[in-house]
Amino acid sequence: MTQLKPELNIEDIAKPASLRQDEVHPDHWTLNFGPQHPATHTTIHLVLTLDGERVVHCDPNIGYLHSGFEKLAEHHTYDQYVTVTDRMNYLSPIANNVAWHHAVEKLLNIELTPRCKYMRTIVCELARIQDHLLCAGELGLETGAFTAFLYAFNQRETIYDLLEALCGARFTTSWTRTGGAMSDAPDGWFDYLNRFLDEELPVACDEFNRLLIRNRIFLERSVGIGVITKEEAINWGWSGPAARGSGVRRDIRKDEPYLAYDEVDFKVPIATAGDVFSRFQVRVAELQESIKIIKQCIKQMPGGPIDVAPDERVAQINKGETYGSIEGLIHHFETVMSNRGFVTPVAESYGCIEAPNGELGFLLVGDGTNVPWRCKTRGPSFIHLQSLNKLVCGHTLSEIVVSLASLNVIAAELDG
Amino acid sequence: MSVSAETLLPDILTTRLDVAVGWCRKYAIWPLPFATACCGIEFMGVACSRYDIARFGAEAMRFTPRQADLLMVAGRITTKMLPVLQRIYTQMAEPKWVISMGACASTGGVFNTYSVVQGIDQFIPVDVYIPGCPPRPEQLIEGLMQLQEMVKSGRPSNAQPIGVRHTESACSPIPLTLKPKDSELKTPGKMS
Amino acid sequence: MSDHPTVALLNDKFGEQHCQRVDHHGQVTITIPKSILLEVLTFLYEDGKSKNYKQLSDLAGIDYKGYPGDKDRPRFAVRYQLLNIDENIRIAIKVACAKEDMTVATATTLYHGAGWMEREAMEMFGFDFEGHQDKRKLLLNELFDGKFPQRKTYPVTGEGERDSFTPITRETS
Repeated sequence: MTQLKPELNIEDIAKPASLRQDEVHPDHWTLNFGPQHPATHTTIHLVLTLDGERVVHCDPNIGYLHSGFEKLAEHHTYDQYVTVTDRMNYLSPIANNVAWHHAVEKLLNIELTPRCKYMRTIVCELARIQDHLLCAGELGLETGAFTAFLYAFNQRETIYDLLEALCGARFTTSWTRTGGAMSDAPDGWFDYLNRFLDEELPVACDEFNRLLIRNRIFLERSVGIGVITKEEAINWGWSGPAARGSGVRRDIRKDEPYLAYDEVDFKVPIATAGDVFSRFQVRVAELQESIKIIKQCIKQMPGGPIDVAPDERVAQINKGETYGSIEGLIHHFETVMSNRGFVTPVAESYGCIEAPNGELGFLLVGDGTNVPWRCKTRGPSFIHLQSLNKLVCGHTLSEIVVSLASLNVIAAELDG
Repeated sequence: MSVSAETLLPDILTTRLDVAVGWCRKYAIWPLPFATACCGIEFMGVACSRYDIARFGAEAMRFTPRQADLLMVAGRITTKMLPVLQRIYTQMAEPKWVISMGACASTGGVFNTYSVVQGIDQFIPVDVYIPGCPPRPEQLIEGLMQLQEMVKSGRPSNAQPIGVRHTESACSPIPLTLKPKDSELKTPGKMS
Repeated sequence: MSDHPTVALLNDKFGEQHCQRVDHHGQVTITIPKSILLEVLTFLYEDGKSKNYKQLSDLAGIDYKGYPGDKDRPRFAVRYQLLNIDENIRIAIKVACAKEDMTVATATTLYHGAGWMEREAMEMFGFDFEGHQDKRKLLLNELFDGKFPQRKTYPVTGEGERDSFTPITRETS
């Protein structure tokens, strides 16, 4: 039985929390950084013990956006839950959709159609471009370079337009389905995409780079800050561009190829310094590689259906067939009705992709029904933020902001 | 008809001043973007070049409640975050308004879970609700414009919000204390 | 089906009777007794061919109450997803716990990354990771003291925590 909180005293909640003084070290003082602060990327709370301006200890206090994603997964079907995955890493929602259904299809052992693989690769790379644009722009914003952020965000708007043409929603796309996708690319989509990649994006990236990469202030604020070595990064569980900034040679697209990544040619940028600037450089270089990947995918795009064959009884049939033929209607019932749905094996499976932020994985425990028994989300932000104390100890207050931005911590993925 | 100047002048002056003040205020709202989740990114999109909230005079984002007029709650509010939100709200000085942006702030959205507050209006007063998950930038701008009408007319902020929700409607309002029983929360695939 | 290189090493060192193997389309999960967890993880962490699992990708708690076959197994389990970056191999280690004894050895002595993952499992399921330096709650606040939301017995909409706040009106603010 939950106790109701006692009557609120307005004076108590309106006054600021007091500063505590450490008994052992009287020079140290405690500062709350967040949970409502523009530099904490929404709801992250850092309890800092400072010696003047230098950080002695940084203790992240998270959970301010804990929404019960994992519990919610136990009450949604595999195809319903994709709408919730959009809300995890909300800088690149469609990559989360791909990650989720990659994990589901790994549990069910479904082989996708070639066209679906290529389409999913394209949208995954578009999501990567979206994420890196915002992350790199945000890093500029944290150091005071507002213009770079605006330039980067403008390109994201075009990506939103592209995704809206593809699936109807600019932000929370919910595009993938088990065994396929919600919709195929409409006419003219590839031309629009080509124009974006040839004419708009490289120009904007060039301007963006010229603003930041050789900017002395930016370099002073990011080189040598927030350093982590390769062995430490591996031990703390890092992955993705943050780990590659420290020299960890790991990219799931190359090491455990999925979708169409083994059929396209691309490089994986690796830096060695392990500081904020090298993480930034890795992201910017990955952006360029993503452009290459998408162009190759468009050139090599196979024809054919985007969903697996109806006999597999997993993919939802398209609405024209549902309302147009009795077989289509029955197939629709078989996949959608709550006492039907596809049969999952009674097994466990861990499926992960190289999301823009790192290794985004889902542990799925299937119980025979079309609702997951357990879904554990392995979000890279959660793993990365753990080691923040390691990164910022001994640095000043302003360097915490930059280190945090370089990790690209998304509160929803963090709190799950 | 003779009207004495003393009786006439004070009335006319007060009305005009209110209108003038309301007109100034509506074009100089300083929002506090209390962005917690995805709606925060759409809010950033509105603040950026394409949708440009600066056209409406609201580009001066003030992240401290002491300097802000409008508390823009964008994103889901959890049980851990609600006391923080309440504290921020009380720290704001009058006149202050609250926009609840998105489905999660207004009603809990897709997250009918143990830790997400099912609507911030249960715990702080809200003036404008903007539906959507996330709301398109155009919806956000329309919500802001509705708020501007409220600001201009100098209505007290706890008056009926315009257009978005009417409590005196045909359907009876759902009491906020009603929690769905777990048997009502259908678990797909599991027929009891 | 190609064989997983580490399984043979585990069987030799700890005995095949203690390492129950489950395969699912190339993914190998080994269930071991809780008592030898730290030894197994230390063994897998060491340098060497087919060992050298230097990264803990994920640590998950699982509640099997109501699962098919739940009468034959303890109610809870902890699953460690390990990764060997140099040889690019993954393996999953599982330990089972009954509700009466939720103590498990901590993996933080080997993997720093396990710190928060174990804190989350502790507050969501009620595990007790022995030797963990920081057992405070991570994601939940004091409203959830004594409750374990991720257990199957806890309802998804909660037990009233999300409504237990005092509203603020314009008059009182």
